[in-house]
Amino acid sequence: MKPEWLTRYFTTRKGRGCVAEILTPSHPLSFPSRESGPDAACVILSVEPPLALLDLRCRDKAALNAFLNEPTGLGSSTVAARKTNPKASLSRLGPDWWQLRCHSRALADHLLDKADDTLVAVTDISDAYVAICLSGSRVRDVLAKAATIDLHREAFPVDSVARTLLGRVTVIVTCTKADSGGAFDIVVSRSNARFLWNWLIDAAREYGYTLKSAPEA
Amino acid sequence: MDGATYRVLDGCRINKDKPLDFWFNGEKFTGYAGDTLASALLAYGAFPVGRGLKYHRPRGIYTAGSEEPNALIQLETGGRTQPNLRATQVELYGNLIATSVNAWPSINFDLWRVNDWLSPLLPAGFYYKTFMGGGVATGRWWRLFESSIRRAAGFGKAPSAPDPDRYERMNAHCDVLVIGAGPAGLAAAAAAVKMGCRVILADEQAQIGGDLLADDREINGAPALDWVGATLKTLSKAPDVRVLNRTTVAGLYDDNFVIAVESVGDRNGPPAPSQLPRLRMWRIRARQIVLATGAHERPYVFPNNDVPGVLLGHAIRHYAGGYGVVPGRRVLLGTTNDSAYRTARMLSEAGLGVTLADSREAPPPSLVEAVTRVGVTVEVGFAISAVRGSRRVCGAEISRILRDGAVASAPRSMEADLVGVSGGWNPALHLASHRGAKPVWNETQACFVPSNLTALGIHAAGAVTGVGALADCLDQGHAAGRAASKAAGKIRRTRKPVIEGDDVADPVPLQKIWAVDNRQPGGKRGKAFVDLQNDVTTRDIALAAQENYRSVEHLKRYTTLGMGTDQGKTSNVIGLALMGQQTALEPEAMGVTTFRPPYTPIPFGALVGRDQGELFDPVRETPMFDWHVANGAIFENVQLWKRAYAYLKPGETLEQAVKREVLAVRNGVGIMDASTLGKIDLKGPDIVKLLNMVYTNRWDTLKVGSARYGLMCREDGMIFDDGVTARLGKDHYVMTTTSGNAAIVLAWLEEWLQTEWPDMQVFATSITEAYATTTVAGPTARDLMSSLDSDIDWSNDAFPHMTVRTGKVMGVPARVFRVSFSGETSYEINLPARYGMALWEALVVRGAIPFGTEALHVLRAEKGFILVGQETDGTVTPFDVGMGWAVSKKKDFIGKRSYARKDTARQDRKHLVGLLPVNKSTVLPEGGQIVDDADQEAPMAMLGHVTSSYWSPMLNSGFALALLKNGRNRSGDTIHILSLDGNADEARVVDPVFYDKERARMRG
Repeated sequence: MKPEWLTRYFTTRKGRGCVAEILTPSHPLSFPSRESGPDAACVILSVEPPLALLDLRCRDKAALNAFLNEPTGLGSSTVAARKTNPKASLSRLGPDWWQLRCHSRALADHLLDKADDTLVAVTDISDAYVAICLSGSRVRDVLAKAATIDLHREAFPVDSVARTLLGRVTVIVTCTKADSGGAFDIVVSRSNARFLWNWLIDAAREYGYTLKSAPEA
Repeated sequence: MDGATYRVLDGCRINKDKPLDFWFNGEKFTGYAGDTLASALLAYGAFPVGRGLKYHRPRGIYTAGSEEPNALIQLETGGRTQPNLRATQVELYGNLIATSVNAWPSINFDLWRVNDWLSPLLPAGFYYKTFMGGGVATGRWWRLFESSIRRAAGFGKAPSAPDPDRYERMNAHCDVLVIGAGPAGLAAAAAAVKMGCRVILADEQAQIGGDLLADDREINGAPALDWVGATLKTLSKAPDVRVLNRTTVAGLYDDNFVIAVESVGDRNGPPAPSQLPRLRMWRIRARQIVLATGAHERPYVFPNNDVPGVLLGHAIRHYAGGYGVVPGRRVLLGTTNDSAYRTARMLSEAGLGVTLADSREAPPPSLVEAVTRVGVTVEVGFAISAVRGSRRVCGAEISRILRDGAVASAPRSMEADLVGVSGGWNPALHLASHRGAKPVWNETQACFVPSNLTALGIHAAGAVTGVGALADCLDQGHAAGRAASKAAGKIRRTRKPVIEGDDVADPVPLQKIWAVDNRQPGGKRGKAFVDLQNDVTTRDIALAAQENYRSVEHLKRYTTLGMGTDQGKTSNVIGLALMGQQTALEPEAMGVTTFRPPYTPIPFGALVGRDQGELFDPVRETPMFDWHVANGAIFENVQLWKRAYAYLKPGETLEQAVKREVLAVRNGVGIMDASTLGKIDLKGPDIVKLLNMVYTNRWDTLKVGSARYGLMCREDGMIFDDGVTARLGKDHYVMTTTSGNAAIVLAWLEEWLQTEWPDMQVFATSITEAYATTTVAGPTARDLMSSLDSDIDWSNDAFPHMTVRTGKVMGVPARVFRVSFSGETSYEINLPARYGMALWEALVVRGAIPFGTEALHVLRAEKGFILVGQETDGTVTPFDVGMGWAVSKKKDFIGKRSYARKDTARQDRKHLVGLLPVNKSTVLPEGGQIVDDADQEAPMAMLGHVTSSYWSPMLNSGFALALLKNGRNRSGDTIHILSLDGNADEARVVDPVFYDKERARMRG
């Protein structure tokens, strides 16, 4: 039997007349918003808008800074942390590895055009990932079910970034807010997104949760 | 069941306003909220609740905690049933259902009791000697009695239905984990909080307070429970403290990784609120640990010490103080130390007749005077030497005792229906043992204590160190909390609080008595049990010594001492001490067996958690997955990917679907979801150097816009992956890999780049998921592509085989590869993944037939294309599969030197060949072994095996690929393929390319 979410998904898509000539983007987490459980404010799972995400590889920090400073106003950090401003967020994932989340597609395209593939290798990985935001008073408890790393507010303060396993799925998790239980941005590969989403919903069942649907892709 | 007439006191743990009905062995009982199953049952008297493992003698509740050897019960029924829970740890809830285990047909009439009467024939080692020891009769005897023995052995029954409950797992981190929330643990937690630590306090009991809950102790001149409440309040106000009651720490591992199991839903009974887990497994990573696990009281052994109504002395106090239950009217307490005096005083003050037999010649006068004043009869220098009764205590004997436990006088008969024994205390050092800390013998307290813990990041405090005084426990707790905090890097000046206990002013050390040797005339004889759960008696220990078992580990295995669910918590030390007496060794020299995790049994559900059903394993879905599901696809798992295997129309069989899909590609156009193929973006000026090293062929001449096939080998020269790499720009390539090896190849590249060639300027980035890949294949593929709105010229001249083009397809930026795994004209369209579904639907609307991986396998096998992992298995070189053309002789690459090895250079290795069955309708078995002569004697000379085998609608015949010894030189030979059913199929060795040998179709 087809799961309910799948039926819903197809009804919606067919209703939109998706077999037209213009290709319509789709999102693996296209569900209506809903609330469930004892206290829906305990855990809030929201699907973030589609990403404009660039993978940056560079062994020369000066070159990276020169590449990024003018268009983004951001520079590399020395620790696994996120730097953010209204234009973009830059997360360091490894000694020569960053991910830049552009807040506009135009900025991402500009940087892709600008890249020369020698000193700074820039790869568009926007569609490889899906972003989820987790917040609520019990968000750290839900994450504690999924992650073995310490996500306590002192050990993992705002703008900390970690590439880790969440529910046995590789993710990049960033703390985005400390108060009201905290908020976390989770970037997960597109193929695993639905598994992780369902995993997190199941983990939040004992507290109650709110699901906020994916915006129009 | 008649009234709970043994509930004679108020208990601080129960709420008498909340009566709860429950069922035990089919009878209805009533207890109160706060009761354990054990306390609620004892309120009805000390009747049998279990049977011994071997002799099936009636057994009653013996302890009040996790050390319980007797009262194992089966909780609930159906899928929720749990075997071997200790009644002493099961919290009572309304309509609880519990049954006894290990009795047949019933607890009150157990036919296996016959073993008790036959016991002279069933000494320790009986089973080994009779059934395992060899000899002519061994096997025959075992076959004869096996089913009966198996039925009689073991406790409890495994559930026969799926468990409907939820189980959860949590990770937690802390500076200090305090295990045990008695006085020492609470003091340690409070100290660590003051030092600014993140603290987790875990205790197996429902209520915090440990031993203080069972007693009328005082701290700082006020009731101890006031101090417990105040400390808990302090902890609850601290921001980073987690108090986990009902949580048993089950295992300690390296680096202070700890597992603990919290009972969550169990206490509510079925059905637990559906969202709540029944149990929660905690995985705690603690910087430092305070071990405040307390101690288990141990008995001393005497004849008939297993009769229901014989309890540990401390357990009697526990049930009286905590639950108001005293399961007897006339109490005999036997002790070797000070601790039983509190019990005696409590019971006597409650109006019960109490006799206290203290084996010591000079107990503390203040204690004797205090209990005598309230009516307790104290018999100094006496010990319990026997108990009378079978189904419950109906009397006892005491005897004057010598220092070594020998009886020095004729026994005196005592009226008693409740017997408490207190032989000293065994520190609960099991968790320290998990970390490999060897226990050492403390002669003063006559017990093993943990040692050398600090280096492991563990700080022991309280009774686990062997101390007994409350003040010492509190002091040690505070000190351990501070020490652990400092070691965790939290250094803060704090003032030591004044905490004083109400300990006896003139304590007297305990007397070491392990067993009362009752050989005086007129003395009651009977079995004296050392290990109540496994029915190990003093005679069994003596027999082991007589048979020259010396090591405690051998003693354990020979007698089963210390095995089972209680792991010998009350019996181990006595057993080894008795062994020492037999062999003239002190306990220190004997040592103890190793305690291993878990501390108490863990249900499988807690280990599994939510990793079941749809959440059993992560699943990877392609952007077109929903379409596949909605259109009848059946899936195959490729690593974690769900790949469409075939699309079954209503009424269609798999074979019919595959045939339809194959013919669609050969005669028209088919589309396949190839999004799972590994895609690695390569950037940097040294890509050609990298490709030349990781692939066997040359890459110097690849032009922008062109693509090339490559074979990747390990250092041993064996194929481990293949794929097409295309050049998109001067310093920009895209490598494709097999679906299953995408992550492995990326890691392989990174390993070489980071460890061997750090100067190579290449960056590799996975883009597998960034693109949805749709393969369009078939003789009319170009027509289909031309129907799409695109700025790409699809003509063969402008876009020939093995090239790549970028442009827009239906308004979306695309990379299109002209490569073919089917042997037909084929395009691989790579679009940003979000557009994958829409393109797929657009192609279907245009008449393309979706085909799955099975059709693809048929198509590629007809062409003789290898599939890594099917034609290769880590022992196959490029030359073996006839791909020497892809191996350059002019450059170095990983694996090249291995081809000079004698074995890889052999000309008669197994080669890839094609097979055509003589009977065309046969599809040869994949994996089938190839032999020349199917009638030869075993062991047969195996020549190779079938690697891929399918039915070909184009050939109208079965066909196969195989690895055959010296295969290239055996073309035309007839060989035989063995099936598992013992039959053999005949087949002819042919060229591995079955279809379009000129390769004109894919180039066209």
